[in-house]
Amino acid sequence: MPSPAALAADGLGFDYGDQTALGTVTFAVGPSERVGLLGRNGSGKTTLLRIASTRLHPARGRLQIAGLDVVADPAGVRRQLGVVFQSPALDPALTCREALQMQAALVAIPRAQRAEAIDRALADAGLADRAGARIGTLSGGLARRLDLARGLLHRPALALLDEPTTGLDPVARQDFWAFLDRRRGDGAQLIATHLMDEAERCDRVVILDSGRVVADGAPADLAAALGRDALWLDAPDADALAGALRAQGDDAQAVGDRVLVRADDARQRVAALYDRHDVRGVSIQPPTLADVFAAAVGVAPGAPPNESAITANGAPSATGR
Amino acid sequence: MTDAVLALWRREILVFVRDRARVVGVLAQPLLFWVVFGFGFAESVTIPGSDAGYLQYLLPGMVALTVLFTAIYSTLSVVEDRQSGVLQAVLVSPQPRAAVVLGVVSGGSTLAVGQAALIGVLAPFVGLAPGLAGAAVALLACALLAVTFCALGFVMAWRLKTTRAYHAIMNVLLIPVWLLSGAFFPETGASAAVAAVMRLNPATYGVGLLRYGLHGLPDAIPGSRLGLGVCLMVSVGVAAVSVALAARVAQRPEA
Repeated sequence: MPSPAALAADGLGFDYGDQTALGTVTFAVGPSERVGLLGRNGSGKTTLLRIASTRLHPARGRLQIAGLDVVADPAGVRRQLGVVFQSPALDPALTCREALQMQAALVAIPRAQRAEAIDRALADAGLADRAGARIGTLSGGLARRLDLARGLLHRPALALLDEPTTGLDPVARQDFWAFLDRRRGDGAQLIATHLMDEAERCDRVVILDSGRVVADGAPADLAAALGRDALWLDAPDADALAGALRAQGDDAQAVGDRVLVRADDARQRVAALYDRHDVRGVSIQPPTLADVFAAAVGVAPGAPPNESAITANGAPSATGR
Repeated sequence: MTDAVLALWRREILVFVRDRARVVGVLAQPLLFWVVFGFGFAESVTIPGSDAGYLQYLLPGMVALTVLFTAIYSTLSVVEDRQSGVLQAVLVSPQPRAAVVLGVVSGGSTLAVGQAALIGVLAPFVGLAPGLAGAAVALLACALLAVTFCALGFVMAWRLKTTRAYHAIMNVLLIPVWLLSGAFFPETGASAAVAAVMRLNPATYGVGLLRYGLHGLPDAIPGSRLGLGVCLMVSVGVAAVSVALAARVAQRPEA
């Protein structure tokens, strides 16, 4: 029998009052897959992770973790999970080893195996020489790595990570990901992030927008599907330009104050665009995951989460709610 | 689950003893109260139907105050853990929520009884001679009071989002509970209304039991008409109900 998906969401939905946080979300994470969950603030990522960690009950549809239903068997689900939150869930008064000893008891690692599991986690986290240090004395990067060691201590079938590198400098982020890579063999990883370079390191990305899945695939496949090149146009009136280009049959979309045109013949068209339209600047890039995100969500990744940015380019925020 | 409770217990102890200000604070306050009120009222207060001096009368009250404060404030860790995320990490572990309750209650109670014992050793200096059996009953009384107030503190802490709200509520509740428990003034000298309120206060029975213990299990204790059996039974009952209430509250999903 093939092992069940690490996570399977089927028509999953949740509302906060009359506000829809998740519409009907359907996607799966394979048994040893690393999936990036992308979306802006308020896209439903955190709600999805809360349901997956059994802290919220879904209003619609169902969610299974390693074949177990989150509503019917929350305790069983929690045994399969390792959860890493946006900020480290660590008591500053404890030492690194003490924090992991407590976690080992919480996740019920057999006593005989605890010391070994803790030593291995400390080594993988690069914290072997800091085992006796108080957590309060660790740098932000080390504390995050210790928190990851805590979440992955029992080699969970599914690791849920909610924007785990928020606030870390690039070097600390590299170290964090190196640790995450070392634990690829333990089980599946579902990582919520808004950083494109992190998403590129995933086998697949699922992009959420306003509680819906708007893209799902391998980063390279999604990028390739956009067309060979992404043509970015700076224009005084991005909406008008996008409208004009669409009128002549182009696949054009306003993204913030720029226009994204997906075209196979981008290079040949630059002169004509300058001649015929009010274009101030052009850049041509092979499509990236950032372009995928921009096309799917209607805003560049990292754009400030204000509602007008969404409505300004013709994708009202109420869509799909 | 036993393992997890033990781990949570151990953490409560470690976090407490590493915070020296807390250790000193919960000891200094009762001692200060005791010295100021005990010597201040020394000649002004007599206990009806008893030749106990006020300094002696007040000592079990101070032991009770130490238990109440240490127990209640130990559950502040629940609010702090919710803010830091440690609580969420425990809640997504495979442990039942009852383990969280038992960890917090057992850890806080251990601290409260330990701190109270440090005040209780002053008993012989004010003419109290509990003896071994009396000391054992006094410890039991402290444990029951501690379990009760850790569990009730947990019930409060579970709903509160900030430590400020926690401090505000605890100050409003804790001082009257202590004042009206027979710890500070005797029931026998109070007005009928106040005496009635004291009878309704669950802490009164724990304090009564504590007095029986510290006085070496006499037939009656100064300033109270409660019997030893009543004090013991009510204290056990209240502790059990409080823990059950905490376990029930903990089943509720987080807001």
